Amino acid sequence: MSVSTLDYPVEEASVDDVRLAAQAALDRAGLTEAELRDQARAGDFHSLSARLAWVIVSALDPAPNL
Amino acid sequence: MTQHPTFDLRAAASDFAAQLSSTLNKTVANGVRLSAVHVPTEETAYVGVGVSKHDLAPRTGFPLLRATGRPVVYMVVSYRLRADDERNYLMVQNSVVALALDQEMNRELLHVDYERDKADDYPEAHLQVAATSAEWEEVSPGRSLQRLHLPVGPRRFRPSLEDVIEFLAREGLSNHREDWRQVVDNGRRDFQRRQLRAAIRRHPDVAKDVLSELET
Repeated sequence: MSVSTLDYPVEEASVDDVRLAAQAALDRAGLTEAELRDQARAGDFHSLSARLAWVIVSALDPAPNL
Repeated sequence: MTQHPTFDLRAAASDFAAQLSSTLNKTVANGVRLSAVHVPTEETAYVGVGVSKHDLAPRTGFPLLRATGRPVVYMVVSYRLRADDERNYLMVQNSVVALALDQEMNRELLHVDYERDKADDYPEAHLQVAATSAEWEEVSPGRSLQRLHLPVGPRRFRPSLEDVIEFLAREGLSNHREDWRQVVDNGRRDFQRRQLRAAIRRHPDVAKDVLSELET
């Protein structure tokens, strides 16, 4: 892969943005964070939207109430 | 650990998105533009079609070139990236490449999944096919083939996007550009070289042994 010239735009996000995006992905999958983490632990995502949500949620520390 | 002065995750994510977009548009897609989001405080980046800081998971797939007489196949790609432990090279932490028969990706055909250092015992790289048969129902009752994880190589030898493209083109599931084969070969060669370099960095003793064998 060649060295980037940064000609391809990259948006910048904060951790709060990631948390909001994670919640949006969970809502689309129809799951709570706890339910998604349970599916991940079991290696058994019930939908593609759950798997896609995991790409984001797995980067975050579990919510304090979990 | 200090940040390697030459590694720039933002730039690497930009390059990664550009490279994948180019590969797709030169093989089985048209006008696809992957976007990238950088989260500096987490030293993480996300790449996918339509991702933004408000929407890091792709909402929909993008259409592939339609094969004559076949339905349109849609693809979704999603990557979470970071630097490797030495902060020298780009590393994929988590990725999903999926195919479906609708843009909402509800009618899934298959997905190739990679998660580095998975917490469960399932293989880091695996294929899940959304299909079943009487035989599979018999051998795996209550847990369809779609839920089973077929290992597709360890970390360094896992499939790349080029392998999914080759599957689509060779099996006639999508149409393809005339020189798709060369694009796939070049992309796969680059991917494998990066993996080989990473393997050598992790196992320099093995690399030295092989080099000494070659010199004798």
